[in-house]
Amino acid sequence: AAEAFKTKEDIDKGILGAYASFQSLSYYGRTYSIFADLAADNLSHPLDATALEYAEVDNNNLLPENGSSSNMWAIMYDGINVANNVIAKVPSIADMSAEEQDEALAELYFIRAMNHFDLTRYYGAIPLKLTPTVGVTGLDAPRAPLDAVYAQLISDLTFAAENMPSSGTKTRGSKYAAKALLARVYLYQKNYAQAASMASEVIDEGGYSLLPNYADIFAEENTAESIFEISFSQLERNRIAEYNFPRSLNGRREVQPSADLLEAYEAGDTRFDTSIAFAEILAYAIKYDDLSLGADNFIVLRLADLYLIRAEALAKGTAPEVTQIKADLNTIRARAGLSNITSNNVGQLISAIEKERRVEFAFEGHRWFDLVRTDRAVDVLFNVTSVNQTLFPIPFDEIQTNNDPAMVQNPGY
Amino acid sequence: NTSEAQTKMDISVTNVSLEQLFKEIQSKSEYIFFYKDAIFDYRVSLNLKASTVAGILDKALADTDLTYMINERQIVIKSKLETPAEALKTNQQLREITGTVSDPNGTPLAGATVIVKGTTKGASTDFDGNFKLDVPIDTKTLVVTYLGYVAQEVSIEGKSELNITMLEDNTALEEIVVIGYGTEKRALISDAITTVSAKQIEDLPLGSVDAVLQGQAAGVQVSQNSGTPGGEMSVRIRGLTSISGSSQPLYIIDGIPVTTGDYGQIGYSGQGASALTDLNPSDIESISILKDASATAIYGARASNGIVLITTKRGKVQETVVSVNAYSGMQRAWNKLDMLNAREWMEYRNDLTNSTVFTQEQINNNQVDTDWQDVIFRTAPINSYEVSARGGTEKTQFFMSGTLFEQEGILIGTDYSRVNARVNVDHQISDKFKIGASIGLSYAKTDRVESDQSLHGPLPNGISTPAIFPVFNEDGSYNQDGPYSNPLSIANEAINENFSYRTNSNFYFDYYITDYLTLSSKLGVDFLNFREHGYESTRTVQGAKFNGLGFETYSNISNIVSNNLLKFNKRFGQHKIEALVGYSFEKRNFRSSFIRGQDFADDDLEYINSAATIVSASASAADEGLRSSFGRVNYNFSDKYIATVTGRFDSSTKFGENNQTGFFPAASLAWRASQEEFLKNSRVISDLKLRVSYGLTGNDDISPFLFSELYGNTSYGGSPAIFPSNIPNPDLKWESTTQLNIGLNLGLFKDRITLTADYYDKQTNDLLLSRPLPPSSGFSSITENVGKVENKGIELTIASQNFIGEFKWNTQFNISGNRNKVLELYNGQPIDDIGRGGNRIMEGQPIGVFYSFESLGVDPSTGDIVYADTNFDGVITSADRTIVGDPHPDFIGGLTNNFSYKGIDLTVFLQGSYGNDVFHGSRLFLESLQGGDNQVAAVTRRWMQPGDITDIPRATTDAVAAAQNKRVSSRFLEDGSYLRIKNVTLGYTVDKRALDKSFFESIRVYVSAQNMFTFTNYTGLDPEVNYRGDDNSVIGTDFFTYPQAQTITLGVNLKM
Repeated sequence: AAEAFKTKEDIDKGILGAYASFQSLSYYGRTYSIFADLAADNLSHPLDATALEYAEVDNNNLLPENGSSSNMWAIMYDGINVANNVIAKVPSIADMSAEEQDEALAELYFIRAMNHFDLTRYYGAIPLKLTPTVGVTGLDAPRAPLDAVYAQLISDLTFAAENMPSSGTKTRGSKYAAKALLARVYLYQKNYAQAASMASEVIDEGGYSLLPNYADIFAEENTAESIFEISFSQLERNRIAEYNFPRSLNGRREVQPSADLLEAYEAGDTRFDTSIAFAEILAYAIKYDDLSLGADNFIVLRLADLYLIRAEALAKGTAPEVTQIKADLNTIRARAGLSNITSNNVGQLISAIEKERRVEFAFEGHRWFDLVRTDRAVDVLFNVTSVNQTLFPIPFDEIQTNNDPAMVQNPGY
Repeated sequence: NTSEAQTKMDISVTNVSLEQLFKEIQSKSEYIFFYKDAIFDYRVSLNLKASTVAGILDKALADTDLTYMINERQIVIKSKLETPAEALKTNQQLREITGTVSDPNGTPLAGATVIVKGTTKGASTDFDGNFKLDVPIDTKTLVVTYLGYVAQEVSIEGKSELNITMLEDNTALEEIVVIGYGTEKRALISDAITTVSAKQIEDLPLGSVDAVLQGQAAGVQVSQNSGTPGGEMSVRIRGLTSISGSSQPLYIIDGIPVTTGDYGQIGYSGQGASALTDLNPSDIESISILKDASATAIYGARASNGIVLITTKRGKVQETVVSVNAYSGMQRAWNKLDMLNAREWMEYRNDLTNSTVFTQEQINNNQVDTDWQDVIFRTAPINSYEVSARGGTEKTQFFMSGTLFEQEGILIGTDYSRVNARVNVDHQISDKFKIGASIGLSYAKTDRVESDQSLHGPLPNGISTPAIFPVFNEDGSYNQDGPYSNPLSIANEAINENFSYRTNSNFYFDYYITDYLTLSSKLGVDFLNFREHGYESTRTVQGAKFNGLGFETYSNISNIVSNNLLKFNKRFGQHKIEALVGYSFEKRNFRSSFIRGQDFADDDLEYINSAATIVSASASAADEGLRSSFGRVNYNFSDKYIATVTGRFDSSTKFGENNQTGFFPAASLAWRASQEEFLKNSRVISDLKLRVSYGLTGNDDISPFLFSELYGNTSYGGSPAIFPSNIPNPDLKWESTTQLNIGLNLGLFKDRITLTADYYDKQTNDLLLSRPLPPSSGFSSITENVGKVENKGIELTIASQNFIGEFKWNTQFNISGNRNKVLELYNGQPIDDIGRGGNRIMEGQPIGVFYSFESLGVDPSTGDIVYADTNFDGVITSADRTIVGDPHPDFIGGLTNNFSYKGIDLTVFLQGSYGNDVFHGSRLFLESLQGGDNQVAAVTRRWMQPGDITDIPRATTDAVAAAQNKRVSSRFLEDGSYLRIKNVTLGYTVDKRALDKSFFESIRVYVSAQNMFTFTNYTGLDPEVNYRGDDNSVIGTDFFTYPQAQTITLGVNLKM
């Protein structure tokens, strides 16, 4: 075992091992992204479906024992631990130059940051894990305050952005993937100036471009619009389509597009047909539609997101540049075949951005986080009556086994 | 014991009586002498080295008018003058009596002694059990004796031909019992050992060895978790000692540990395959269940869960007996759930949605009302055909058998068939050398279906599909409109087969170094090839999703065992010492491969080479080794005081570098009070033995390499990737169990009534615990030696011969109660919410108590379930969960009554469990009162309007309320106690006289019923269930579990 890491190649296998956690069915392989639409108003759990844990999420009435949530938590920390494990090994690899070592660490920090970020989006203040688990002592970890979590995210991603190469396969992190994620992190942190400037960097310097045809984003892999995507193949399958497709098409239909979402599309929106299909009268999501193999890559970051991040950051910033906001928003609308927004009212623009994000990124795992970070969940979501519900409960098995006095449950659970 | 005739001994006596000489011989051998006092006027002097008993007796009796006859272990001394021919000369008035002596099965007994009562005149039966004797005309009674049988007095008045059936001596104190690496006379055993004989398990239409143990032995809990043909069972000897290791006993066949467990790689949770089913129960001569530390410690690190020693039938010195045993029968489900019919379902749906889903007209005119349970259950045949031959000469003995067993499952799509062959041979090469071999071969094929945990199992789907859906569409295709896949389509169109190819064989030699020292060596192999083949065509929902889905898996498990023993056995006056030292090693290799493919070219091409896409392929290997040395000393003073000391060193590759070898010692003491002067002549007490034992054993049954830092392989983007998969623990070692046993054996009225009682206290330390870690560590658990569990219990076995003579009635009864308690866990931290029923492992409670919400019933005003707010904080949260039940029985027991009268025999066997709770998990769906599942008929009494007092909550589309109402809680917990008439067998043995001219030695026909009645309050299909199969902590939980069958068989036993 101690011999597992001796060469640069071994480190690379270790880095891929950390990416492999993203493929878990509890993470981007199914649950993580579905829950972000299900907990919000894009997806609902059909009455005749069977997964009780999905019903809890749909109803925004989670128990700490919810197994799907618990698995999600565990797999994200698994990814962090794998990354930390390799991080600890990198300095001892003799056949790597200092640059190569930094490059490897940068990629690992990127992975670690993404896991931490995805955790904090659902659970709020979370334990920050920066060293590998090698024994059974010292495993009781406190929940770090949100400020500390964000400081660590920014530190990891900044290092990643500085030290990763700018090109390469999109199924692995890159300089601009790190910057794009950083832009998103700043937006969540409500650090609008940084979010806007980081988004601009990616838009201007990243070399990405919006695909003219929205449908092509999901028809192909590694497109010009894609910044970072999780690889899936027949050997490493996702089950997103399985949970969306109706039984008549051999799916499980644990989730269905909500009636509300169907109405949210404006007439003529070309995104509708790329996002939703019908089997007789049953609507189902089709962005990820490889039911048989589950081999379609899941897109985590794409350029359209950066336009809308910049638009929102500018709108909420200290001096809203209405022209630029409208330009970014209308760039996205134009591709969808929709007319320009002409209002100059910042409040209306913010609402327009929220609505645009909903349909642009439907079934891509954004809606819940967008409503929660903008403090809109209680207003928008029927089942969410208390701000307490905007955080998932810390999974019961963590509470039970983590004896740190600062490992306390979220309020209301 | 045929080797006895070759036993050589040294004899040196000077001027002793013949009686003393015989005692001397008895002390050095297993022989027993039969003689009459009157003829011992002789004294002898002998000095012989390494002589057989025949050689000694030839010399000793040379100058007397005595002669002898040896039959197996019996030596009968008689007067030369009293052979019938001689007697004729001295007596004028004689008459000839002829007859046959046989055992209760009609097998002739060769060498039985027939004596005129009150004289020494007599004869022995020949090879066919026949005797001829000229007796004085006034003789009224003959006395017939045979070792192991009750001596019988037979009136000959008015008869010249006798058919004498000997009754087995059920006290059987002389019976030889198989113990670890040896044998011992039952009377002299100081340990807690229960035996099950071939006789107890014959006629039972049971497919596997573990099933035959059920209800037969005190302290042994056998749960047939599912009725799946060929499926695995849970066997617990004296409770659960482990949480994360295995709790199954170690099975040893003819001295060689057997590979057991489930090697399936395709998940069928709860429908696991069991490698133990490869063995043919009818090849079993006897089973010894070793329970206390003293009996088991000789198996060291694998002994904590108890040992099941199985001995197969071997040859005998007799004319070859060919037996044919066959039975044929039918099985059916003994119970059905009462579900909503189509009308009730439609009315329920209208109420649920509070709308008119179905109009009154639709309800009235509905034509489809499918009883899905009738679709999935069937009456299924079960057949077994066995031919065996047994016989041999003084030099060579053999047993061979061939068996075909076929069982269709009562659930569509399931069946099991097995072919076994066995050859056991023993051969005496010379006075000093004996060799032998046991070769067992088997082939088994199982057809399975997916089970409870899947949406593609015929049983859950069959029960959950509402009656309004037809089985077929009008065009003949399967109707798939129901909430789940059409169960018939799965059973018919999915192929789920597994094949087991098994060789379980050994070769041995015994070398008699001196008359008291023997060297034995045995090499055994257990090879198991297990193959699974699965294919789902596009005609199934699952197959259609993948354009045909195929699996192919192979597992190859080889275990090679070498046992080498040196045995010492010598008597010094009243002191007798038996000792053994041994060295053994085992090498176990495991290889497996797995491949999954999809996109099949054609529905009829079911093998992977037709799959366009291989979605998963893997292979793995693991090797293990065990090296052991062990020894035992048994000291016996005058058959009155017996002491045994045992010890074993085990070195296993499974353990960490800091703990590679363990030492397991034990000792026992027995006092046979009935041998003391003050009891020797008691008319009431015929046997009284007090036993005590104490010792240490281990349990090493965990996966290999858990002690080391491991990396797992995976891939990302098609490139190989690695990740840490295990936190190293160099201190990892076996679980240690200390056990105290106090026992009593009592025989009353010449052992007409015998009683065995044991109390035990088992303390298990250093539990191999898969301790949960904070998930934020990146690991879910680590296997460590932490925690303590105790099992305390009592066992009672009573056997009585209520009637003897022509009408016979025997009763065997056993009852045992075990109390399991977790004493210590890591930091007192419970292991929570395990399985579907909310099992929990927590300090101070039995393993796997049900821990969930306590339902207080339905609130008459709202129709919702009210849960106990145990912490009085005004809200129901997970902190309100509490202990609501215990899956462990208070008592388990078995009761067998055997009756026989003339040729008729009747056996009634009852088996039961009392005081265990079962979580009826199927009700989570069948009483969900939401969703598309069919509901049990009980929901018709659901809450409908304020004021209704009922136990079933309202039907509602309010998802939150519905989810609250069907929380895992005491609402679904039921009393799982049951009493089963497990078996009733009525047999008729054809009168031997009718067979005189025929080809047959004996003919018996019988009819047998399994599970004829089950008395239980449990509302599910079967109280004896566990959806997770053999699991330590997920116990007592029903989740659409395959129920047991009710079986009727007709059988015949032929001997020729």
